[in-house]
Amino acid sequence: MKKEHKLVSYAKWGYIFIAPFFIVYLVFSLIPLISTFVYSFFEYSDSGLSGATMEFAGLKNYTDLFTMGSSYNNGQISILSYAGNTMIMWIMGAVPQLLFSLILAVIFTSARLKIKGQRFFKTVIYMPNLIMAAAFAMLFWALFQFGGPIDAAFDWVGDASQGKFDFFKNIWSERTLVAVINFIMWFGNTTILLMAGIMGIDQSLFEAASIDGATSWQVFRKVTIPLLMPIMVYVVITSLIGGLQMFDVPQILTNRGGTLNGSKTLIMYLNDFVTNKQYGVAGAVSVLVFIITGILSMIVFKTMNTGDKPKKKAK
Amino acid sequence: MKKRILAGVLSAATVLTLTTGLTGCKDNGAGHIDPVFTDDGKKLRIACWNWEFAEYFDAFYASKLPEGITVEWAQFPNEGKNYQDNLDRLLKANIDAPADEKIDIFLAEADYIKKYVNSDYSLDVKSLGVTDTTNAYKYVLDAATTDSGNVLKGVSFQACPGAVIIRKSIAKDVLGTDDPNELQSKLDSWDKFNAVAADAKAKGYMMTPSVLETYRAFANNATTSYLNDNKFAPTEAFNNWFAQSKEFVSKGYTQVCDLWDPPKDNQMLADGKAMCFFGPSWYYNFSMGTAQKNTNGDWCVIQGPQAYFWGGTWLLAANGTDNSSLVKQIMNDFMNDTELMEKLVKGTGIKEWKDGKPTSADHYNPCFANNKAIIKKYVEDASYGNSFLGGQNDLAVMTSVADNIVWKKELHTIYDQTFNETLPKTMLDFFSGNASEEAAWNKFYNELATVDSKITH
Repeated sequence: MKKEHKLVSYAKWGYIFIAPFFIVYLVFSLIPLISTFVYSFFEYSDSGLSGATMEFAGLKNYTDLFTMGSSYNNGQISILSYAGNTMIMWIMGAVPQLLFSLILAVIFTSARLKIKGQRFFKTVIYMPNLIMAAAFAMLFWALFQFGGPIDAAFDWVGDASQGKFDFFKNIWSERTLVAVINFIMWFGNTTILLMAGIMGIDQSLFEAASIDGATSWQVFRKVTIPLLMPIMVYVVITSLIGGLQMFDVPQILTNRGGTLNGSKTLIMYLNDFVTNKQYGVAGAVSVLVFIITGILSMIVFKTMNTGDKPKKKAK
Repeated sequence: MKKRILAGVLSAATVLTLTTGLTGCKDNGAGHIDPVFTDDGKKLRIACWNWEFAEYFDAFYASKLPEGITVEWAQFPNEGKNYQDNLDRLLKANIDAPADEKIDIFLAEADYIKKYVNSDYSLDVKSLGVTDTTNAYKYVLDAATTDSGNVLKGVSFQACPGAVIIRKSIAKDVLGTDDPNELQSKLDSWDKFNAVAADAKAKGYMMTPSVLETYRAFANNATTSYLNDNKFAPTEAFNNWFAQSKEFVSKGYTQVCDLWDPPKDNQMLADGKAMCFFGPSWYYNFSMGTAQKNTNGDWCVIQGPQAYFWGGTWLLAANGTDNSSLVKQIMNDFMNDTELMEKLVKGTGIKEWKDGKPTSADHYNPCFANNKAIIKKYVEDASYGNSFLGGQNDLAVMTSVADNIVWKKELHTIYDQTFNETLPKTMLDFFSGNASEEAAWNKFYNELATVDSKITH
């Protein structure tokens, strides 16, 4: 009898100790999440002094989103072109980043090369990630602005009277700068994840391969890559989710979208609605991003859970 | 079981959201808010977007404040409606705010004064005791008067007639003279202005330092509104500006950059090539710091092709103030106190700034004071001259512009700031040659859609 009583009391304390997290989660995450869903079905805007209006509008915000732009933007629907911008800038940054990180990870983990000062390099390549993205964007803006240091450094190239190149008056140079910043910020993180993945592979497989006379390239292609697949998928998808939420770098670097809004991302579009207090439409954009992110997360979840399969195949 | 708990939590959260969300907008009605003001506050809070007024206040007024009163500036940057958003938030909460957090005075500029004047969040200043407005310029008062009922809601210490600020050494080279009167006769219409631009180009100069330079001179002279029944259409004034700018860019009479971009600022340096800057007195006295440091004295002002105004800082009394008699005193003094207004007009030269704050409280820039009697006195005073303008009596030029400005209430909307910031800026994509005219307009329409989905075009 006494024992039983004690057990119940322990459980109670357990709940009390985890309660703060759930309360904080409920107040700061779950309720805002659900309110976003709710608002997305309302025509909800705040015109400042005269106050907010909120009327149920069904799917109007969603249909609006998928027609905005169609009548004037050469038939191009705004939200789709911004989604396109987001994907273009993500691919421009992520693909080189993945290749570069993969090479670095293989070099760092190679038993043959035995790179010295690994810790130092790992720290250095991770460093950029510690800098605020906003600060990074400001720095690049200061460097590349018209009449800035980069501009001055290239003064001797070509004839100045022909007009100098302005990085912030061209869609592709703006996108490239955004991609470069994302690359510098995130390649260290990716390298470390991939290194962890490679180090998780059974070392005896590499030894067996080299005893069989496999070249480095063969080891890389036939052993490392297949066994690294689950981690690769994880890295790609988390990077994609991060890419979908790309905001601070292009917002600051291109001053809200740049030339012809060519660097405007989905979240920057969302931000436009929020700053203009169009909460209903903003909610709808959020919900769409949430759905896409949810689908991507499900893919990660599925691949991570079946992560053993490629291993068997490789054997 | 687990699912049932989850379902329970989710539905509870939904209900919570809905109730909080819906109660959050109870105050949306057209309810009238009664004016409230008391006089027992110890802290004077003034909302502002820059330090221009703060500079004058510190120099002339801080020492005169009654004992025990402290001053606090609630400053928010102006750009992108940021100041308006913060001000809206503060004003809505003002009546119920604790004594130390009540806003007493808030500043507003021409682009959004209409919104505040016509709201219940500003007070009738005559009811506070600000009654003598005989010396104020008419357009300054009109801007602060309600659309219906003719209630005066604010006053200003300055008027902002716009002028053309000319680099004398360049004018001498291009037009053979740097005498303001002769320059005016050569630049008193847009046709002449455009023709001179070609001469300037031939001599290796630019007519204006930025393609957006003449925007305000055109836009603030519009005769129709850009918004009719929530439908947007460019005004004739805008189209005229656009045509001129297109010509200027294609012929190299100007450069493609924003009003506040470094390339424009560089044109104020000794090796600058631009002849005509457009702006009111706050512009040449307050914003042309680069020129004051590098080319001081090589400037003069003329009326130019068209009288216009740009910006301006109005003082409005916040509903809920707890320092009403002090607010009244400040408003009166910053309009009618002879000694104070004379100090404003004269200034003491260039004010040094560091990290966004003035480094010395005793220095301040001259200002075009909103007091016709004082201005008249200095127009007639042969010893008065603006040192930045090489000793020219700029007041004589500016006062005739100020008299000619008409504030057209019906043309202003609550979207003025958004339009005046976004529209010219969007056109930069076109002027820079990176987009077709149509593509630039499409970009603007995209912006419009995010501003308010009710606006069509």
